[in-house]
Amino acid sequence: MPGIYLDSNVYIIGLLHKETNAARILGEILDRDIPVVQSDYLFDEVLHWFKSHEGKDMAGLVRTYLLTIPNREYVSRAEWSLFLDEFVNIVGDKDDPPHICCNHAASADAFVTTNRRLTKMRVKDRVNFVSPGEYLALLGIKPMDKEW
Amino acid sequence: MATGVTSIRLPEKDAVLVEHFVNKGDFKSRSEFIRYAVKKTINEMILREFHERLSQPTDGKKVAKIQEDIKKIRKQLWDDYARHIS
Repeated sequence: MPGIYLDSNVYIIGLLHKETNAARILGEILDRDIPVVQSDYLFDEVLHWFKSHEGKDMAGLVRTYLLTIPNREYVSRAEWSLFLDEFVNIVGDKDDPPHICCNHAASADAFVTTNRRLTKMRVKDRVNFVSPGEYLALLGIKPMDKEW
Repeated sequence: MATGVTSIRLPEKDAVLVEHFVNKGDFKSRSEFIRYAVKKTINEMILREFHERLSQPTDGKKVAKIQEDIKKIRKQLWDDYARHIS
């Protein structure tokens, strides 16, 4: 079973909106025990968002959620930062590389994101970007019409 | 690693099933099976709680706003990170 990196937007949209492809992915990673790659950077981003939009308690619940994904691989800053020099010039936005590096460090097979901008950058030749809908299709599930 | 010891009473039929997966090599021990099952259940319960408490209809505008907010957070985190390593 291929490992995947879920961008922070997939967790946030998937937890907040049940009727989305992102939410279905969160269900599928649990049901199918799909290996999921995570990083400290991802935790910081997702928790920061929930803390500022839904409060500290919900952010705490999200932390537990992220930590209890059964088949998760954690890539630390010391590990993903090894690849920064390699990716920093082929990713358009300077703040995106940590996620790309983490995906690369763990040799994840797919980087699932709702961010179309990423998929147009030069780095697309090195990373298998897929939208939540495309990933569901890869699993053999008919996605919802909307992209997210 | 510090662990809490919890005894659980399983019906014989369930204990046999756990043993089956341990013998099959899917889990190293019965403890590992139980740890996995507990983690998975917590994850499932939280997902359910989120969807019951917060779930709301969504549209392109809300998703765009989330992406925009993430972008700001990402930039801030990156700036902090860059400051930390420089």
